[in-house]
Amino acid sequence: MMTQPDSQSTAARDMEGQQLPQRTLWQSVVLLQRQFPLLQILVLIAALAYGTLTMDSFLNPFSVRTMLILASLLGLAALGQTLAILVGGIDVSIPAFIVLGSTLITQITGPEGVPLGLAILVIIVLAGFCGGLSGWIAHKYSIHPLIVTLAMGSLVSGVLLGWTNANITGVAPPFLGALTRPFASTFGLPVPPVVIIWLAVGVIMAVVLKRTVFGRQLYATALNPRAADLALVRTRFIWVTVFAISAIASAMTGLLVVGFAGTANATLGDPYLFQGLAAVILGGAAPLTGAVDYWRTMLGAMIFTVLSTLLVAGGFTEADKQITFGLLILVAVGVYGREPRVKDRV
Amino acid sequence: MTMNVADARSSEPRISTTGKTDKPASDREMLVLRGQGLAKSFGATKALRDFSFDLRSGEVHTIQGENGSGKSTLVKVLAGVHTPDSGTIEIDGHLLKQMSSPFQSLQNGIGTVFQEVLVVGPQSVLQNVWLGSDGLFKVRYGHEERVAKATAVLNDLLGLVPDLEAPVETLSLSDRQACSIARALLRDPAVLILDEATSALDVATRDRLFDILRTRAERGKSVLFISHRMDEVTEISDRVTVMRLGETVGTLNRAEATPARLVQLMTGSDVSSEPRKRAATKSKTQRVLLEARSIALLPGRQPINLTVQAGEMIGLAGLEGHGQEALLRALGGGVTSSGEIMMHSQGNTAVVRNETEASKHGIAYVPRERKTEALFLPLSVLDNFALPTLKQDTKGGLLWPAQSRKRFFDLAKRLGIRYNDADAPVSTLSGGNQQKIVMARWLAADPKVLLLNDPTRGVDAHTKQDLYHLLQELTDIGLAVIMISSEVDEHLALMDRVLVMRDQEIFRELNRSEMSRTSIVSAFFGKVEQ
Repeated sequence: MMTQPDSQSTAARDMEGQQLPQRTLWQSVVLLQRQFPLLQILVLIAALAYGTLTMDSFLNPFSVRTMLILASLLGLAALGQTLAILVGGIDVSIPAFIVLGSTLITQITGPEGVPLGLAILVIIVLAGFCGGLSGWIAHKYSIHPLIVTLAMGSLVSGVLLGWTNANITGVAPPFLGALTRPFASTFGLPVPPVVIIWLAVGVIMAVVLKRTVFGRQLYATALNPRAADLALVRTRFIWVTVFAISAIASAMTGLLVVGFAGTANATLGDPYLFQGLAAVILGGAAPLTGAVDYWRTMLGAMIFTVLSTLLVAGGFTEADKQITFGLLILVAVGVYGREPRVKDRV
Repeated sequence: MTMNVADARSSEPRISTTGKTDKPASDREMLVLRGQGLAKSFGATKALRDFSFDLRSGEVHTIQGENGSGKSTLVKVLAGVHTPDSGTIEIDGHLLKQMSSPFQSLQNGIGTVFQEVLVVGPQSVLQNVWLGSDGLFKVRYGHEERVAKATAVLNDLLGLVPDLEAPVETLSLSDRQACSIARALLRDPAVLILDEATSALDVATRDRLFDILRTRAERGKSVLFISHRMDEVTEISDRVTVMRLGETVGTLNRAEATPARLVQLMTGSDVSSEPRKRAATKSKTQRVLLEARSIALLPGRQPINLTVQAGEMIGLAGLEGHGQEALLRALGGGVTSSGEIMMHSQGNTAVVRNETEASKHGIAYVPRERKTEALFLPLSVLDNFALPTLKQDTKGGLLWPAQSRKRFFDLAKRLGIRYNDADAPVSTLSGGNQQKIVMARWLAADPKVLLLNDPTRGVDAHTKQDLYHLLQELTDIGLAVIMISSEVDEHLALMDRVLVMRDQEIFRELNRSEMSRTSIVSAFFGKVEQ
């Protein structure tokens, strides 16, 4: 007979449901995947490897830089969507604010002759106000943000259309074009400035979400609004801020997009609604468990861009492309959309 | 080689699962439900290991066990929510091949009411009572029949039938739960499972429910009853089966099932679930901390005046929905019809206008429903603890988690919180430890007045004892505690004063010498007795 086991403490551990894990390999992989987007990283590496092996020009500097620029624009456009999804909503007014940014910067610095700094300030204030209003209405009257942002997006697009008369004559200020020119460099680094901007935004977002009171309150509001209220979190302020940031980030993306495209038009922002959502979802956002982060979205944006490039370069049609992303989104939702919450509850 | 856990336990004395006074021959036919060797795991967690019991026709059979002992999993297995990994279920002597949905469970004559009040808020009382009775396209009962049956059942349960067309969300919590119990009773199942379903009921409704259960029993219908409240268990049960860590510990007949014996079996030790008598407030300094002046909870109600002294512990009692929660919220800066709340400290007096100001002046409100009102289940233990006091961990606009961790570590030790990893989701802790996390969250704000909304509801005996101990400690150092409790015993043991609420007013104030089971319960019903 060996020593008597400490049955009291074993029992205590059992009651907490925290025995030493006896997981199968598959369970471990699933668990890991839920905490860390392993699958996404593998897909990205595989896609890059496939491109490198099958296409001569895939890894040449121009193509790499172009992919980075496209991923940066998509990633920045998906910032607001990430936050909206995080609080349990959605923002369909993102294209409208991209158009707002791009139209205003070309029109008021060009034909209207407003100085650049002032123009940017006006855009930030306008977008922030309209976005914040969406968040306020959605929270105050408990209306789903899908509806509120749909209305706000329509309103903003309509006003812009009326103002410009669908005739945008200005061109983007040259410095905006420089930010997204493939062979531009940043402080001597051989990458276009927009990529550096994107990385900096990523770092700022990580710090804000993980290491500030606002970030922690944001997750609390998302996961249990009633408990957050009782824990003295000002949840309406959180909603207003989220949708204001989303609008501002989208409008700023609009500046970069028009710099990249040269001229603005009313449909400039349209692709970013689907693509932005796709980036958030492919990155593995799981709002029910609070596993939503901007770095996941960044990963999703890169996957989207690389796969798009492969499909286009491989001679696939737009139809094939849409089918592929439709399937990928379904797979992602299958992995993250329904969490086996029973396991957490015992 | 070391002995494994199961061996260690099996060496303890066991009680025969059949009991001593059985009449073996006739009993076999009277069994309506029998489970043997039931087991169910969720991932690595074995919620149910080896559970066996039998339910006789016409008996009220209680399952008792601490939080995390597997009671809810057992209920969900019987209700068809979970499929057991192993073990057998027999109904009326027939081995059940499959019970993989709540629908099948219902078809087999098992009706279940859960602890969570499951109603569809905006739908009418009638619709809620008959919820799920129709097919997708087929209406099975006519309107008159529905109204008649619902009226009969609700009349038995509530004494007074609410407006059947009113949205169910306009009823009190207790009446809403009565609607979900009525839903199960309507089908007149051979076996009715009540999984802590009584915890949301007020005393009068619960007593009427018990009468209904007794009448059912005479007709040979059985009840599987789950409750943490010892008085309920001893009042209604014919037999009690105790479970611990997902296994059967034993089954006792009513006469053997004394609270002390049950607690001993549940915990494997001699912890009493009875509240220890708290020492009355020591400091007679008469230092007033909180003052309510002419608070009216509803327009036209008798205004409430209340002064709360440092070190004092005040109980709020009454039937469910008579204003206890509204008063507690009002003291914490919540909405009132009229009147004001003042906070006194060091010669200064401040008016408290809302929850944020209340918090600033040292008033902390701890809500009642852990899962819906307090916890963020997927977030870590640490995040759940620190949320309202994060400012303390901020330097240069940034959070320093090491600081939160240190604060948590100190309080966790003081409250006896058992956790493995402060970064793991709070959902991995047991109910009792989750409740302690919620307490720790507000103690971290260093409050002067603690407002507790029924903090011991649905927690196990160990945790209750820890909380009682903590409350003693806190009042000793001069905190004032105002606490709603649905257990009369807690009022008797803990409080310096008890305010019995009735119809949104204070009906009676009882001090220590006036407090008794009779005087408190009489006041619930508007009677003054000593």
